[in-house]
Amino acid sequence: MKKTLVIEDNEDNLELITFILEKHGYKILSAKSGKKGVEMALEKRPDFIVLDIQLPDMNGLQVLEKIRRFKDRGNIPIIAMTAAAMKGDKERLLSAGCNGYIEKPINATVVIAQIEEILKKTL
Amino acid sequence: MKKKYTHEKTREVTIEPKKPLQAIMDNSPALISAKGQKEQEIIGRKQKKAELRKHQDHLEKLVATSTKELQSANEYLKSELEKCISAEQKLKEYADEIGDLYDHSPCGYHSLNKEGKFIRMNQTELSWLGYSRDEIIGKKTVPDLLTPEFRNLFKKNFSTLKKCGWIKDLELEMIRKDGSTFPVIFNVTTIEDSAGEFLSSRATIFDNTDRKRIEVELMEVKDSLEERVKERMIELDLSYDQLQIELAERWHREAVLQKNAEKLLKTQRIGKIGFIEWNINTGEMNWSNETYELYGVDSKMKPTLDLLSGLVHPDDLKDVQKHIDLAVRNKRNYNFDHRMIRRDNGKTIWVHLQAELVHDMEADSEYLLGSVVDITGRKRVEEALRASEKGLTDAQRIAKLGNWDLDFATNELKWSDEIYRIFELEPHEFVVTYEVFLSLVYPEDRDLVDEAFKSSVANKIPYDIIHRLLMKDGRIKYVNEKGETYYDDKGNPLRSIGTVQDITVRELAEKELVNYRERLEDLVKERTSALRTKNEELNKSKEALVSLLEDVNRSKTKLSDANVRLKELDHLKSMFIASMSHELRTPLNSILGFTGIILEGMTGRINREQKEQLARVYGSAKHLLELITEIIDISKVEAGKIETFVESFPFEPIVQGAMENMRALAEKKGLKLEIKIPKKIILKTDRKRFLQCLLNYLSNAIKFTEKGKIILSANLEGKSLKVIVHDTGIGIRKEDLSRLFQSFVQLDSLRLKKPLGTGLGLYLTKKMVVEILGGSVAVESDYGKGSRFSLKIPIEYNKNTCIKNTDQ
Repeated sequence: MKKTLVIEDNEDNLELITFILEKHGYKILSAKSGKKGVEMALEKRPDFIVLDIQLPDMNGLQVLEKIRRFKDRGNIPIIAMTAAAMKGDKERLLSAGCNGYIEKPINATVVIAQIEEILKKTL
Repeated sequence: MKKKYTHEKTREVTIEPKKPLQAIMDNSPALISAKGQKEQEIIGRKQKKAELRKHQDHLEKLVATSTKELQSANEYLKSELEKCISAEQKLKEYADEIGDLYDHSPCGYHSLNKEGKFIRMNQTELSWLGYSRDEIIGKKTVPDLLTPEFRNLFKKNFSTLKKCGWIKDLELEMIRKDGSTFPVIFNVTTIEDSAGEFLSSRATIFDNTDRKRIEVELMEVKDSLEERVKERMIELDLSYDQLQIELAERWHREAVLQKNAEKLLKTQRIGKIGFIEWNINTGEMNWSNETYELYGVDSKMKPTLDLLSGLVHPDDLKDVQKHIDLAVRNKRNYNFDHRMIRRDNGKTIWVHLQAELVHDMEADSEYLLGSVVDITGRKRVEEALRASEKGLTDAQRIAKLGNWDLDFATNELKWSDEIYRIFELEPHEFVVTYEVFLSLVYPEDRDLVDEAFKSSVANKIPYDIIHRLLMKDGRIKYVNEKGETYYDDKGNPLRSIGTVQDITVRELAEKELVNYRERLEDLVKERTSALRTKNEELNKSKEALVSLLEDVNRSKTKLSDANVRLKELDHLKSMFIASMSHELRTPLNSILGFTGIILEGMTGRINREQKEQLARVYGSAKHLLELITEIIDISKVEAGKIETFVESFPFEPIVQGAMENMRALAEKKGLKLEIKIPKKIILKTDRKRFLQCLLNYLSNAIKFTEKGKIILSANLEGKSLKVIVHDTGIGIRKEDLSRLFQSFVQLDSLRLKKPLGTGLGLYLTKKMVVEILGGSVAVESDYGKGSRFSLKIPIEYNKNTCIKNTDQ
C-alpha cells in the first residue's frame, strides 16, 4: 500500500483528497502547514507527496525546494495541486521540480487517473 | 647658153655605147685562126675545105648569136638612153630654177677667182651697181666697186678669209656705175680643192641702205630724247627743291597744329569740354574723347544724331531739336543748357552746348561745330541757391519772420519782404527809416522799443524784445524784435541788423493756452479721483480673481491626487478581487469535490431525486466557480499581473484540441463542428491565452446555437492570422453589437432564458486578445441567422501591438 503525504491547509480539501485516495487504496498522511509537511516528508518517508501550492506559512514552491534538498529521498515524487489555473503555473511548477500537476476542483474519477499517470512516469 | 650646154652633154652620152661593139669585132679569136689556115692549103685542100665549112658554120652560128646579143644590148642601151634623157630633162628644169633663184634673189651673189676677179654675179647685184654682166665678169675686182675708205678694210678681210674660210657681216660701202654709193653687208665663204687650195670665193651681199637710214634716224631720236630728259631732270630738280621747302613748311605747320590740337584736347579734358562736329550734308558726326566721356558712351560706338538725340533728357529733347533747327536754318550760333542722360549709368547731367555753323568751302559742306561742357555742378549750386533763397523767403513767410538792415551813415533801413507783410505795407512803397519804423510801433511801446535799441547800440549788446504794432485799421500785432550792431575800429556803429517776427498768433495762443491749462487741470483732478475709485475696484476684483485661481489650482491638484489615488484604488480593487476570488474558490472546490463524490456514488447509493438535486447543486457551484475564475482572470489582466508566455507552436493541433474539448457539449445539442483552416501554420504567441480565447468563442457559439453547425475557419492576412467562429445561432441585433464586448453584458434577448454565461466571457476574450496577444476582435451577425466572431492576432507576438488598460 502506497504511503501518500498530503500537504493541504484547507480541511475540506484535505478530507476530500484523503477520501478519494483512501478509496483507491492509498495510505494517507497529512500535514496542514508547509513546515509540518517538510518535517513529515523527512520523518515518515511517504511514497509520494500531494502538495497544495497555497499554504498559510510558506509558499508551496518553498516546500518543494526544501524537500528537494533532502540528502535522502530528495527525489520523492511530488504532485502539485492548485486552483491557480492560470497560465504559466504549470510550467513554473514543473520547472521548479514538481513531477506532476493537478487542478482544483478535483474530480474524483479524473484525479485518480491523473495521479496514477504521473506516478507511472516517475516511480 | 642654157641650150648649148644641154646639147653638148647629150652628144657625149650617145658616143659611148659604140665602143663595146667594135671591140667585139676586132678581138674575135675565130677570125684570127681563119687567116692562118690559107697558108697551109697545100697540105689538104679538101680537108681544109671541110674544116673551112665547119668553121664557116661555126662562124655563122657565132655571128647569129652575136647579132642576137648585139640586138639585146642595143635595146638595153636604148632604154638607158631614154632614162638619161628624162633625167637630163629634170636636171635642166632644176638648173633653170636654181639659175632663176640665183639671178633674182633679194640679195646679191657673186663669186671671185683666185686673183679676186669676178667670175659670176647675179642679176640683183648687177642692177644694184648699174653695170652689165660683161662689164664686170673677168674685168672688175671687189675693191674696184668699193669706196676708197672701205677698200683697205676689204683687202685686210680678204686675206683673213683665205685663212679661216669665211667672213661674216662685214659692213662695206659700194660705188655704183653712176658714182653714187650705198652701204652693204658682205658674207663670204671660200671654195677649196681637195688639197685645200683656195679656188674661189662666194659672197652674199645685202643692201644696208634702209638699215643705215633707220640707224641714223634712231640716233637722231635718241639725241632729241636725251635732250628732253636732261631738260626734265632740271625741271624735276627744281620742283623737288620747291617740294622740300613746302614739305618742311607743312611739317612745321602740322607740328604746330598737332601741338595746338594736343593743347586743345588737354584743355578740353581739363575743362571737361567735349567737341562735336556734325556734317549737316552727310549727317556724319565726330566726337572728341571728352564728349564720349561726358555722355558716358563707349568710345567704340559711332556717333550719330540718333544716338545723341537718344541721350538728351526727354523733357529737353524738343528744345534741343528746336535750337539745332534754328541754328541750321538761320545760320546762327547757338548756345543752350540742357540735360543729358549718361548712357553708362543713366545719371542725368546738365550740359552747356555751344554750336557754330561753319561752311567748308573745299568740301562744300556745312558743319555744325560744337562744344559741350558738363555744368551739372554749377546747375546744382544754382538750384541749391535758388532753393535756399526760396527756402529763406518761404521760411520767413512761414515763420512770419523778416530781417532788416540799418545803415547808420545813410540812416537807410532795408526790410525783407516779410517785414513789409508783417507791417501790412506794400514792399518798397517808400523809403523806410528808423523813424518810420518807430511810428508803426504801438504808441505805448514806442519808448520801450527806442530805449531797447539805443541802449543795445550804446552797450554793444544784442537786444531781444517783444512789443506791439498798431495796424492801420487799429488791430494790434505782437512782434519779437531782435537786433545787433556792427562797429568800426573806433567803436562807432556802422550798421545794425535784426529780425522781426510776427508772434501775434503765438501770443494769442499762449493766452488761450493758459485758459485751457486751467480748465484742463480741473478736468484732470476730476478724472483722477474717478480713476482712483475705479482702480480700487479693479484691485479688489483682481484679488478675488487671484484667490479664485488659487482655488482652481488647489482643486486641480486635489483632482490629480484623487486621480492617482483612484488608479491606485482601481489597482487595489483588482488585486483584492484576485486574492478574494481565490478565497471564494476554495470552498467551492470542496463543494464541487464532495458533491462529485456523492454523485459518483462513492459514499453509497443515493436515490434518483437526491441525485437530481445534487446535480443542481453541482451545476450551480460549477457556474459560480466559472464566474469566479473569470473574475480572477479579468482582475489579473486589469491589475497587469499577467505575464505573457510566448512560445512557438503549430496552429492546427490547438484548433483540433479546442474542438475536441467542445465536442461533448456540441453533440449534446446535436450540433456539428467543422474546421476550415490552412495547414502548417506556426504561431509564436501565448499558447494558453490563445486557446482560452478560442474556447470562449466556441463555447459561446454552442451556448447560443440550437441547431445547425459551428464552423471554425482561419486565414492569413499579411503577418496576421484571422480566426472566425461562425455559428447558425440566434444572432445579435445590430444595436447590441457594440455592447457585446463590454463586461457583465447579458443581452436582454438572452435574459428571457436562463442565464447561460457569466457575462464576462467576451469581455475577457477581448482583453486577452488585445492586451496580451496584441490583436483585435470583431463580430458580425445576422439577427436570427447566426454570428461570426473573429479575432486577429500577429503570427509572431510583438509587444508593441499590445494595448494595455483599454476599456477600463
